[in-house]
Amino acid sequence: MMDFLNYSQLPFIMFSILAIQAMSLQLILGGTGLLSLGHAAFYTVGGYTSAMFTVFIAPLIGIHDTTLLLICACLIGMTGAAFTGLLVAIPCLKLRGDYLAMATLGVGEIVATVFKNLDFVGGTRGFKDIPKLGSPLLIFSIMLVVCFFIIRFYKTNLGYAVRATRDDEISARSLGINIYKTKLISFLIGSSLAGLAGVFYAHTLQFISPDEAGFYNSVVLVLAVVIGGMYSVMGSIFGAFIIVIIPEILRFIPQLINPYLIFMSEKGFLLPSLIPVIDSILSNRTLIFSVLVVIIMLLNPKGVASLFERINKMRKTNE
Amino acid sequence: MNNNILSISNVTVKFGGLVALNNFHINVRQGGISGVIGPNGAGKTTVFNIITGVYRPNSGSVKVNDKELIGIPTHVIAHHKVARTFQNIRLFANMSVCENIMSGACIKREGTFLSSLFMLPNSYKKEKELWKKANKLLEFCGLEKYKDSPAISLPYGMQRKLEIARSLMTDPSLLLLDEPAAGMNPTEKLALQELVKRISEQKISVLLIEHDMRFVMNLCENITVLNYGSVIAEGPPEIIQTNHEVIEAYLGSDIEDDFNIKETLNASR
Repeated sequence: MMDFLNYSQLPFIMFSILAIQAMSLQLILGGTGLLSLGHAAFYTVGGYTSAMFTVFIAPLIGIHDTTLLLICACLIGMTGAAFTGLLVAIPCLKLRGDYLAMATLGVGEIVATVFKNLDFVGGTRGFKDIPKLGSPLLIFSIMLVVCFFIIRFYKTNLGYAVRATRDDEISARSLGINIYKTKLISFLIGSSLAGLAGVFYAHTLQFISPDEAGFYNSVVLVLAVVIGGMYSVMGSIFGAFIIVIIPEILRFIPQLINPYLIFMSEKGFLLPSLIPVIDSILSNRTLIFSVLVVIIMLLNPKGVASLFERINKMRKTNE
Repeated sequence: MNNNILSISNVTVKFGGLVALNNFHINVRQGGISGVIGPNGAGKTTVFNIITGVYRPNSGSVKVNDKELIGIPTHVIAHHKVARTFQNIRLFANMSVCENIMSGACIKREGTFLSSLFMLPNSYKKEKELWKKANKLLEFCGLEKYKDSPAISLPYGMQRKLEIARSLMTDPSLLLLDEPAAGMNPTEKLALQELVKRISEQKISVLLIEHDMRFVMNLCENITVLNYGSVIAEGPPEIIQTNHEVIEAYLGSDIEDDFNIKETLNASR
């Protein structure tokens, strides 16, 4: 039992962190309708700035209390990410749709290159020996707070303005909504929340590498949002859950299926030479995962959130 | 001090070599219903676009409540109590009917972000009032039963009404309706006519663009006729109906019946 607890700790932390990131992207992608393909950049910036603070600056000022240190790290990481978000948003938000996606795609690579060339944070080898702060439960509760914050956000005037801008810019403007300002605010909030996730990532793994800002991580985030359903906050959490948990579950699949394969080959349904081939396919977790994602998207293009809606509708018609 | 809520004078709009509006002028009385008619491409929608600041005219002035609007961006013009609907319906497709109407209240909730985020009592009270108003508008436009359904699932006529309800939520004193009756059947048109009448009874001035002559003639107290960007006639419906230039501009289309040409010809004999 202890083994399982120890093992499940890391996936749990990764799930919470990915969920915070996915929700912060949901605000930008599903909420405001801006396809940002460089969201991982903000999270890397958040991680790096807070780590620089806790490693270099905090001992100089003399902050040793871990709680205070964590709060300061969070604030600094969020400010750093928000500042980067502002730098990106001011020129990029004039672009629309695909063009914005292309512009933000560059941002991730720029951030990665910048940190690769900063020698005092480890360069290409990554930033090591960051002090350990925060516990899994803390991160999970922060995730819940972020979730509650975003749900409340959609109910405020800004939330309505953001969603109106997503659906129709021209009529949003005619209702008195300043579109550029609205997009800017949502981008700022989104990037600073991503920075918060980065802070926890850096301080629980005690390591952060410049490759985190790359294209792959940004795409995983988009995937988490889309799997869960673009317009639902809970959906993003579920998307993050699927992305973290399913590869972990797939670890056990080859062991589970192997006895049946041997049984089938004994009965003569299967050539014995095929067993290693199937084994190797099943143990390629990335492949299986990718196929699963394709199947999920085919079955349910609107994401998991639409599944709940459909069930509700069915219940209503039955009544 | 005149009692015109909207007065446009000497407005000229050019797109390259094309003159979309030439020396256009119109006055809308406080609480009155006025109409702009004209053949397709006459520049009717351009009139709305210069009032709401989408285009900037080359010359002239647009005054709402004696305030000059030219040069002010669109989203600020909404603060001057001007609301509009669109020729091709522009609803917030992924939001429910309620949310569509509530997003019309964005101006009024400005500056309450933090207090409504934490549900502080004063903003809670304000929001409750706004919801009450939204519900009243739902009832006013006959949309109660669609309350929670997504906006795109509504039938066409209802979508039009929802767009009107959304623009009424901004508490306008001037409402611009761009072809509100387009694509509606006669019953829906009659219902819409009643709705527009009731709106103007609430001291909201209405300026509308419409192709359906019966609709315009029944509603408007003042009509401006545009052709190729110039005003060719203006005045109450009875005068417009007998104006030869107007009939000429519309000849070739099947509008003649609506103009009751026979009657006018008989009268002239």
